[in-house]
Amino acid sequence: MAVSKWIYTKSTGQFTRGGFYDPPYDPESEGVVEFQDDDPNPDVRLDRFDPVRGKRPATAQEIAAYDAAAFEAQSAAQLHSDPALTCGFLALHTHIIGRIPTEAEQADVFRLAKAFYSAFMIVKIFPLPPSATSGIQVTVEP
Amino acid sequence: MAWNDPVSATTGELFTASRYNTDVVGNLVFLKTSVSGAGDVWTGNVQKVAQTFRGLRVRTHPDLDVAATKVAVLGLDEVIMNDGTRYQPTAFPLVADISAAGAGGLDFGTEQPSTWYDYYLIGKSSTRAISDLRTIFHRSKDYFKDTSFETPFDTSRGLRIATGTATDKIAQGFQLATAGKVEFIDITLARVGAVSGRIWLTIEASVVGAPSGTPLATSDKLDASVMNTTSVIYTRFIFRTPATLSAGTQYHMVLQGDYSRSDTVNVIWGGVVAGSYANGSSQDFNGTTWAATPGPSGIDRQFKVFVTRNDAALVLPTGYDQFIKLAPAYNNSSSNFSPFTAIDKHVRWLTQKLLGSITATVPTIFDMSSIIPPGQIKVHAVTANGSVANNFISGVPDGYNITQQANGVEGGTSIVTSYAIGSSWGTFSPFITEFQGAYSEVSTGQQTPIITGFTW
Repeated sequence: MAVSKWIYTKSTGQFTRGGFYDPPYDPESEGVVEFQDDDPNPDVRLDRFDPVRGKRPATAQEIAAYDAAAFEAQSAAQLHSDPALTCGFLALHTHIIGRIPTEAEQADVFRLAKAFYSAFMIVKIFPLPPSATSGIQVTVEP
Repeated sequence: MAWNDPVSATTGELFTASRYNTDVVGNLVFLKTSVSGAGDVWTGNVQKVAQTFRGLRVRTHPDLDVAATKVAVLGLDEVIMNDGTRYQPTAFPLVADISAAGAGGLDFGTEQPSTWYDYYLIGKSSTRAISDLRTIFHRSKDYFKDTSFETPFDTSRGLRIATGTATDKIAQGFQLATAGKVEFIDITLARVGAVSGRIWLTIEASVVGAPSGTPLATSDKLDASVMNTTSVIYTRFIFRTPATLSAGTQYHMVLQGDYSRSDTVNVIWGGVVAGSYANGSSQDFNGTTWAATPGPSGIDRQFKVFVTRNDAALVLPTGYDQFIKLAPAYNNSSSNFSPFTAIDKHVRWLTQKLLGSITATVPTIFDMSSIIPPGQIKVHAVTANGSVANNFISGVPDGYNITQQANGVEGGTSIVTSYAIGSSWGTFSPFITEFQGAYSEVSTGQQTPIITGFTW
């Protein structure tokens, strides 16, 4: 009988990884729970560990916290995976000010690039209405 | 030998034995397979093709209210049964209900959860009538993890250490609770340094508490040079000629290698200092005698022993003597069939079969026993990763090979996720596996491989 083993963070009940294998974990801060094969995988966004039932529905606050963390992580991942846009912002800024940007100015540029990707994530997660299929305009407030 | 062309028959001619001999006996009972090629006579016996089909469409029942218990053949252009009888069924669907018994149900026993069933077509040689064709379920064999020691490792023991206590072989004792064939064993291994050679596992009886030296079974030999060096991982050893072991009897699994003895370049086997496995312990062979492994290197080694169970033949209902397997079907832990649809031997899952969410950067073995049936299986999978990463998956027995995992060739398959717009999901090339296992790893981030289907 195949069982699915999932690791959760003890302090939050957040599932982090697992499946039909033996995931290594830190017994100090993490726990492991097994699920049967008719419902083997918890939804890391919508479920949290429950000591009796294995999992329970996450609260609205837990989901909001998860979404915020995921949003931040995915925006950062987008930024790192596609440096061309950041380079473009940096080149434009360099052209405008006529010199190599200072470290503080470079940090501003990186924040702008990240804000762009945050906006992109919003568009990706929340589909635009049909009327916006052409001439998409996204307001970015860094 | 010259070929004598058969005498042309004339309309209405009576084929007597003597007349037939002019064609057959006169040519020494050879069959001519071509009228043009010289020497193209075939001297074997005529054989029927058996147990094959084409144009099969089978699935869990399309009516959702009964799909949990029924599988239906929706089409079958042609089928050749085990005895060579050919049918071209015309009446569909052909349905079996696992909650029923006999033809149209389960061949014997009671419905079991978390179990694979083979779905057969059966018929009667006495009538050879397509109206007598029925379908029936038969429980598939399974690989049961009978005994194991899986306490997280806190030490290891090197194989073929040269000085101190030499370890030409390392053994771990075990006993089964269920008698049966042992076709594979998983143990945790890693490589230290540039090992060049092979390793393998034997199963041996116990003589005065130590391995006998006479293998009851010997595994495939694995390439030690391509094992990972990061951490000990479960590695599957397959016994192609398995031993049938008794319950409650002491045996030993013995790890052996043919690489040069070395204190610094070797393969290590994960263990636990405190041990605690009740039916055996770790031992070293120094080339002459066996002795207990020193405590700091682990009283017990990590392992999982699997016993093949329920490997029984289909039980045909009275009057039926023809059969052919049409599909495997999985009855999940709620005793509901996992929804699937199939054309011929290509099965597609109709619900998501997530293997898991993995962050491991070493080949990690997955238990796919609820997702693919026993046997040699071609697996179809997709994956996602929110990071720029190389994502890997490959089959048993080869997936322990980090070269295979690293480049996705040599039997493995890989996807590079760039997380650029719209490209965070990817489809693995199909890979071949057996014993319901697969190895997977990721270079960074977290991948979520999903098995979409398989070919059996």
